[in-house]
Parts: sequence; structure tokens; C-alpha cells
Amino acid sequence: MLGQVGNVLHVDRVYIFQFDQEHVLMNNTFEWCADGITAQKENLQNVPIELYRGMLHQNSVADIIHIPDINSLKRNVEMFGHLQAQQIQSFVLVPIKLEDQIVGIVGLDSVRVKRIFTFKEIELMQVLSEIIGNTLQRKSHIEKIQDQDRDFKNLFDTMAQGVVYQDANGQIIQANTAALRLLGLTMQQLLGKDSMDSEWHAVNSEGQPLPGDQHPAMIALKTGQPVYNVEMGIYHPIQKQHIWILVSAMPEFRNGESKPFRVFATFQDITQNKKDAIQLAINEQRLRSIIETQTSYVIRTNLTGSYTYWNKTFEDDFSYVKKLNSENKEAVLASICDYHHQRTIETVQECLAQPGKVVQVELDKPDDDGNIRTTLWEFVCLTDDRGNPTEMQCVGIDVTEQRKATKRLEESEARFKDIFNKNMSPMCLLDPQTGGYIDVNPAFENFYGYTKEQLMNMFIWDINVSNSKDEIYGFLKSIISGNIQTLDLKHKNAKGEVKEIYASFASIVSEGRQIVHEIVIDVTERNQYFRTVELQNKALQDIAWTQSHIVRAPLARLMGIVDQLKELNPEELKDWLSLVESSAHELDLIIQKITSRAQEIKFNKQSDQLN
Amino acid sequence: MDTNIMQPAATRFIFLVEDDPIFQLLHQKLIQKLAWNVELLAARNGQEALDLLDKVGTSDMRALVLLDINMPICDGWQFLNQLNSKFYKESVQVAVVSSSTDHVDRQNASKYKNVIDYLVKPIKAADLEIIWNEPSFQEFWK
Repeated sequence: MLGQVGNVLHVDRVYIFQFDQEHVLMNNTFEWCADGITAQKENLQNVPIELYRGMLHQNSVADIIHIPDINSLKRNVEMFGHLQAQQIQSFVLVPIKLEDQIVGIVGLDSVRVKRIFTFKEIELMQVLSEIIGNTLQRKSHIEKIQDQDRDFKNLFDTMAQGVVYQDANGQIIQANTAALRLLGLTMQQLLGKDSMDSEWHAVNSEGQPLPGDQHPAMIALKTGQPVYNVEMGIYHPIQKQHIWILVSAMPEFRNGESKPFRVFATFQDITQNKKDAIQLAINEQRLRSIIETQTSYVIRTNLTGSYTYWNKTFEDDFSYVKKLNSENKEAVLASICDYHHQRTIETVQECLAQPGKVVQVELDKPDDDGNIRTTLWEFVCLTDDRGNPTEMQCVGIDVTEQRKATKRLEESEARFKDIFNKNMSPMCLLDPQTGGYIDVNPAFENFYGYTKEQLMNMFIWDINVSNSKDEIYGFLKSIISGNIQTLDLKHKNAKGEVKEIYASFASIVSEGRQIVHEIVIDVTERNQYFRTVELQNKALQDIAWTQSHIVRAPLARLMGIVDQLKELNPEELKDWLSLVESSAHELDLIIQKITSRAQEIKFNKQSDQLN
Repeated sequence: MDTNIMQPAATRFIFLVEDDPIFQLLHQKLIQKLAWNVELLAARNGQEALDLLDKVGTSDMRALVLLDINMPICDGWQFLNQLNSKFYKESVQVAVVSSSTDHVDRQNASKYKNVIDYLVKPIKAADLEIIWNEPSFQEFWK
């Protein structure tokens, strides 16, 4: 075309400069030279646009630069030098505009002769510039379109989301790489499938079968409306399990048509998210079940003192808080006994000062029946993402019975302490492993004449004089096993006096270990008395025996003789003999009486009774 | 009466074990009066009595011992203890004859299987007749 213009106008050179706006340079992109004229295109690359602008400013009319004689540009030394180098004598430069912006120049050079270009010639140049401008514009548009196409194609092929195009009947006509990967199909397998294909085994978000006509793409085709963010599951033939995708479908229309000719569906794999959501739902349900069924109280409160949550266990005992909460009456404090309000406030303040820290507190609360329950709580302050306190979470248990039991135990301990310390009988507690004294009561101290401090450093064999150490260890073992409960022992006191004692033992548990409780009875005098009585008894028994055997023997003899004499007797002997007989009988009765009385004196040492 | 060893021709004996000679005499007279068909033997203490029994004791012997308690060398209790180890013990029955009215002595005597009665001195013929006529004694004696 440049050649045609050049021939028509009889010029030596016709050329186009295109501007590189970014670098403020212009480049000779096209050139026609008449025969014999040296091409300059190679020399005219990266020419500063400023040269042109300079001329435009000084020498243009309506942006057209017409220089019949370059000598008129001598003052512009640089430009003149360029022109001379190209042997130009005259030239015309007409701007090429694209949307009102100069994007290039079309120019004519006359090299052989100086000439003045006519208005028509310049007009022709203008037409040429418009043609070029339009061509450039179209080219630019085409390039833009091509770029867009290329960009689209790149995006289409590389985007992580799957994209599938379906025609008006729902058949898949195009898909991107991501779609193939996500669906586990090749292009060959995918193209031609439609939403009604049973091989999708499609299910909805609840896992129920999803018919093909309810797929987002088909709905978009049917309704002509976009469908957004539909969760569905489809069978992945490679993973051999269902995957979850989030699908949006956009219908496409041709101009003037109300029915879509095509729909494209975009989708992304949310399988992991779905699994996480399902697991989260399961965990939440599990947690909820745990919280609702556990025997502990679980509550939450806001920072103004109202309940925001309570579990069933709490409601079973303190259902009245529902009314308090609904009346906005600082329900939390109102459901705690007055004397524990300050404690509650201090605990909450401690939690607020250190969110996340668990603080334990015991609080008395009236229950639905008006009974006071002692409850043991763990308070913790919860925060938002920025660490700001949002709620109090409290987990608690009813410790009323435990506290009562503790109190009873303490009272029992106090009672035992009294029984031990105030008892008139000497008592002590022994360690059966060491034989050492663990505790003694004042009566024990008095009896043995040692102080408690002294006794705490002593052992049972320091006092016991009737048995060896080994025997004592054996006793202690037998006491622990319950085989011995009482012992007769001899103990020496601080004065060196040996006392006979009757000790009774019990094995008790204290602080998780077995110890021995001993009660001491001083039986020294009693034993002495028994020994005396035994001696007396012996003496009496001896007397009875003597009387029975020795005293009576002659008497029996006498009586036997008398029996014999009776048979031999004359009348007078009878009277004498009867007297002898009566005396003998009388003596016999006396002796028998004495014997009987001696037999009545019995002493049973084992029963400790005097009959 | 000869207290020396008798010829073992007889098998029915009454032993008078008594250290007091007067009671020996009295008891002999009693038994003679009863006219039982027995051999009457006397010992002055428990040991003598055992020695005599050893000599005359046979499997078909039957002996009634009238036993005093308070004797020297070997008293009545010692005699009874030693009798328990003799082969002829089943052939001997004992009536304790004592001056003692102490029930302890009576109780001690009853502990011995061979003792069939406890008689307090002076014994009478009737006391012996009661023993003699006791069916269980008759059964033993025959």
C-alpha cells in the first residue's frame, strides 16, 4: 500500500513510524523506497519521540508537518542533521491517531528534489493515516482479543476450579484440566456425558440421591438463572469413593434469546472440608451429648452476670435460674448465697485478669427445694480471636455430702482426741513396725512418769521388762492380725518400779497405715491380792484335807470299834458304848462342818469372783 | 491271816489295801461275817497290792479291792494310776474306802474307770452287801 501511495505521489520514500509510548521512542516499522533510493529504516529505530514533538510544536498545522525545504529547520540542529543524513529535501509527516492519541506517523520524503506537497497530496496522506490508524486499531483489537483468548485459555486450563461447559441439552462439550482431575475422568470419557448420567451416583449435601435434573447446571439451563454454591457428592472412579464438590452454574445466552444456549458450571473439591464439617458436627454432637449427660454442672455466663448456657444436670437442680435470667437480674449472683458473693466476684476478676487460667472456688447455692448445696467449681474466662474476654465457662460438682462427711470426720476426730486425751486410763498409740510411741495421753505420762516428748523418743521395750524385743515384735504382729487383743505384761516406770499391767490392744488405721492403740490397766495390787487369796485358799484346803483324812481317821477307827463292841456286849457295856458312840458322832459332825466350810471357800482365778 | 503270796488256785479275791492294822482287822471281820466265797488278801500300801495282783492276776481272775487313800509309799491315787496300765485291769474293781468326807476325794475317785464306789469309814456290812448285790457287779464277778 505504501508503494502504491509512493508511486501515486511520486515521492522517494513512504514510511510509517510507530510510537513506543512506554519508552518515548518511535520506530520506523514500514518503509517503501523508490528505485535508487537508500532505505533508512534500519537507521530509524529508537528515535526519540521528542524530535517529532518538537517539530509538531513548531512546524505543524493541525498536527500535519509539511516541510518543503529542510533548510527551514537549520535552527533545529539535531533534526536538520538527521534529515541531511537521510538526504531528505522535503517531507510531510501526518500523525496516525488511535482514539485521538498519536500513535505513529506516516511520512513522505522527497530526496531527489525539493517540493511543495499539494493539499490533495496531504489529504491522501491523511486518508492513508486513517487507514493505518484503523488498521492498527483493528490489529490492536484483534491482539487484545487474542490476548484475552489466550489469557482465558490459560486461565481455563490452569485454574484450580473445575469448569465444564454443557450445551442446551446438558451434554458436556468442554472442560478444563482441573475438571478432569477433580472428576477423575479423561476428556474422552467426560465429553458427551450429561447430568442424567447414572455413573455420577450424585448425592445431595445430606447424602441423599440427587437426580440429574436437579444438578445445578440443569437447573440453570431450565430456569435461565444462575445457581450458586450447591454442595453435592459424586462418585470418583479412581478414588472409588464419593467426593464432595461445591458447584455454581451460570447460564449463557445469545443476543436476543431468552433461553440459554449453554451453561458453564464451576466447581471445587470440598471433600476435606465436608469431612471436617461432618466430623465437626459429630464432635459437636458428641460434645453436646457429653455436656448434657455428664453429672457435672456446666454453665456459661456473659460478663454482665447472666447465664448464656447451662446443661441439663444444672437445670435439674437449679431450674429457677431460668426465671432469674429472663428477668435480667444478674442471675448468676442471685443464685449464689449472699455470703459467697464477694468470693464469686473476686474469682471472676481473677479469671478476667488471666484469661485461660482455671480458678477453683467453692460456693454455696440454694437449689430448687431451697436446700443449700455446697458446690465446687472451676472457672475459666474465654476470649475471642483478639484475646478479649467474652464469656465465663464454669464446670462444677455438688460436694455437699462430701463436706458433710468431712465435717463428721472432723467431729469424730475431735471426739476421739477428747476420748484419748481426757481418758483416766493410760493410753498410747504405737507404730507396729518400729515399736515406737506415736502418741500418748496425759494419763500415760503420769503413770509411767515420763513426759510426752521423752516417750516420743522411746520404744515399747524401753518400758517392758517381761519380754524380749523379738517377743514384743511378735506381739505387735499378732495384734495387727487380730490374733492378740490382751496381754499381761510387766512394765517399769521412770522411778524403776515394776508394775504388773493388763494391756488391751486394738489395731486401727490412721493416715493410711495400721497402728496399735493400747490401753493400760495397772493390776499390780489386784494381782497381789489374788496371790494372797490363793495362798489362803491353799492353806484352807490343806486344813480341810488334814481334817478330812488325819483328824477323822481315829474317829472312824473309834466308830468301827464301837460297831464291833456292840456285838460282844453285856447290858452295861451298851450304855457306855452308846455314849462313846454319840460323842464320836458329834465329833464327826463338827469335822464335817469344818470340811464343808473349807470347801465353800473357792477362788476362781479366771472368773475373778469371790463366791 | 497270811498276807504272804497265796497259791493261785483261787480266782476270786478281795484285796484289803489299808495301812491301819485296826481297820485291816475290822474289815477282815466284816468280810468273814459275810461268808462270801472269796480269797481274802491284805496289803499295807498300794505297791504291795500291785505286787500281789501281779502274782495272782490271770485272765479269769476277778478282784474287788477295798482301797484306802492315805497310805505311805504308794497311796490310793498312785495305786489307781498304776492299775490302769496292768493287763488285768479289766478284772479288777475298786471300792475306795476312806476316812475323808471331802467331796473332792469322792470326785477324784469317780474319775477312775475301775472305781465302783466310795465308802466312808467306818464301813458296815450293809455297805459291802450293796456293792455285792449290784447287778453290774454280779455280772462282773461271775
